[in-house]
Amino acid sequence: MAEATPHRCRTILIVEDDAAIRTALQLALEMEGYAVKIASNGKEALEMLPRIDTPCLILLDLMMPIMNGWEFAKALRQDMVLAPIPVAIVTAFSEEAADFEGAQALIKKPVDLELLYQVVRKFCG
Amino acid sequence: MDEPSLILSGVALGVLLAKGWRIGLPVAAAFSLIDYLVSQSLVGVLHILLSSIVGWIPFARDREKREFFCRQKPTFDLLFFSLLLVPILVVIMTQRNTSFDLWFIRSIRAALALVVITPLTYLLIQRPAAAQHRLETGQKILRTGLWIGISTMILLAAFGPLLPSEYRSTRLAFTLFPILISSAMLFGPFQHSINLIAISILTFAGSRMGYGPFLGETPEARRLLIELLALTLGWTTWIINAQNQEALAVEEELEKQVGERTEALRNSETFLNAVVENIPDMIFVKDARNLRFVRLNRAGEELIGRARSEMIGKNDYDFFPREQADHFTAYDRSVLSSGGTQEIEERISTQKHGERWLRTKKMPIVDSEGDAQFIVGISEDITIKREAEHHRFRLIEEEAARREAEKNLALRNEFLAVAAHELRTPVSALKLSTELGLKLLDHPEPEHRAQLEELLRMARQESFQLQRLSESLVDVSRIHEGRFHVSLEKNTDLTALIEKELQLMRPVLDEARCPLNLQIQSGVRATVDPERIRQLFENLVQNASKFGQGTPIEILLHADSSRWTLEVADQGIGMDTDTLSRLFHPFERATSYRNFPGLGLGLFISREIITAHHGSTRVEGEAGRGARFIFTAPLDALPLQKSA
Repeated sequence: MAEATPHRCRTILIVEDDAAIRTALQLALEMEGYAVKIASNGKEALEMLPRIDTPCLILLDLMMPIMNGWEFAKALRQDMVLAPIPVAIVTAFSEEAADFEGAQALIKKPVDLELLYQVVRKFCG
Repeated sequence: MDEPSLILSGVALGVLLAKGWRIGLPVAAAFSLIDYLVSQSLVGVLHILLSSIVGWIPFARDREKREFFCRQKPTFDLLFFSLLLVPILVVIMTQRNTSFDLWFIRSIRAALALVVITPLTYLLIQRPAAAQHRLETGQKILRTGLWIGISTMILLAAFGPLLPSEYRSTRLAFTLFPILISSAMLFGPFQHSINLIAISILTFAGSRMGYGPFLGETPEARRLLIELLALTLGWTTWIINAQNQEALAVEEELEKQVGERTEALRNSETFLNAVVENIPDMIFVKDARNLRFVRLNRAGEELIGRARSEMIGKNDYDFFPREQADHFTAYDRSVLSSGGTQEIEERISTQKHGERWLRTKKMPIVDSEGDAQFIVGISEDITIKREAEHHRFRLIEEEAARREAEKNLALRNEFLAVAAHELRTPVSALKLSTELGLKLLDHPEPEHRAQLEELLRMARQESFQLQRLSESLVDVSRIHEGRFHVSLEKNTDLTALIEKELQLMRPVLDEARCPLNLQIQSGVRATVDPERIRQLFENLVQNASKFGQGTPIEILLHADSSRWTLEVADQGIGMDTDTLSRLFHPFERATSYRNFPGLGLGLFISREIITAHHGSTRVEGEAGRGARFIFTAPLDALPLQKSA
């Protein structure tokens, strides 16, 4: 079903260890009518992905316990099915993002709400 | 019977003794033949053959005995003399018609001829090489001759009483002379010669004064005396000459040896001097009594800046400041009394080179009785080496300090980056929630009110978080400036404090999904700063949930009569020993920031808190097997006394 509507998917996955940011992001996106799934680290997200609708975008924090953003992205790229999902990095450290390859977007913390909506609209319509 | 046949028989016996019968017997036979041809009488033939063969028989089989012939041995000499008597008796018997005087004199001459000529011949044929040997042999011959002469006289003295009365003086002489000569025999060969001369002179004088007709005017008697005198003088000269030669040879030998030794000594001294002079270290020798210089090499002259002629015979006080000289002297004495080698580094003031540092080895030189005669010192100038070493040490220290500073700077920079990140996270959350809140205000629908409330609660939470972070930073700066204090409150209910804090931390623990294993002793009361203990507990629990990664967390609070103890343990990633040692340093983190974000100040501040409570901190753990943090402090912590 992911192949059926690749560009009109309304599900967005947030991978973020900070509960406050996670909740705020979730609220912001839900207010725009997206379905939001949340995971508090990379491992949780990987476990969750096969069980949910293929998201149109993954908002990914980089520094997280258990499995960080780099490790998660690496695992994601190795999965034939999941590899095409666009990833937007949400990080406080733009320098840290420099060595992250294959991100479709970069959203710096503190998050600018308008920028967030622009990025989301670009990938999820 | 006359002198030629006597001489021939003596020579024949000598040859026999020296060369054996193969040569000796033909010689004796030839001599007999010559004697017979000359005198046309068998008396000489008989004499030569008989005396040669009879004299040779005792030695025929033994070379040792022949050698013995020339040794002084009175008993043997008497035996030999008795053998000689045979030819003498032959002479006497064949010349009956002669007067008593004449046969007496002839018999003495025959005996003398034999005892002198025979060994002389032997000696000449054997050709002794060394002067020493000649001397010894000469002495032996003389002694032998003397013994024979004396023995002859004793024998004749025995016949003395039988002599007619007109020979009384002769009798007296015969009786006295042997006694005189025997006593002279006690002394050396030179003494014998003197005695012989004395006897000859006495006899001659006696005869001149009219004692006895037979030694008086007869030509035979005069001849005998002159022969005796000549013989004695000859022997004396010969012996003295031999002695002189011997002495000369010994002297020459000695001189040669002394010369050789002197040369060898000079060579070895030259060699040693060259070695000592060319050693680049200072070498000096002082006498043990007065510690005056007796020797100084070139390197020493150069170092001290004085010529050795200036130094020799003087002591340290003549060259060095009193304080230094006192030190040197005391050290020298200690080396001398200890008897062993000692080494020190010392400073000396020199004329040309200023202050120099020396590494000096000193040792005593002892004589054969073990008493120290000298003290020798070897000094290496280590001034440059020392300076280089100091310089090197300074460089190393500076380098270490620079590295430390660089490391601290790097740590601080990293910390600043981390702190910025840590601060940005709540700021980000705050910003998001406030922006969202404002956006919600545009939609005053009732269902959005609940969302607005949640956003505000979140904003408050994040501002608390920001406050905590800034408090931590302030704490660190206080600790570094020594201004970190606690406000102790007596009788604080620790149990209640921990339980309340646990309730507040539930969300964090739930988030981490770590099961709790609580063992909280009830009613633990202690003198603590409740705010700081809360901070400490929060740090520990946050760490445990961060690093425990879902494993059970154990929290223990207990107290005995004097101390309370708080333990928090997880079963997470743990740490190795290297990490353990860095755990409580500020800005240092045990793990990668990418996986375990955080300021990395929690444990540092926690330890300061427990230290301010006079308590102590302990960590147990190993890689992969979790960690246990144990904080313990006295129940009645007194306010920290600030020492001046």
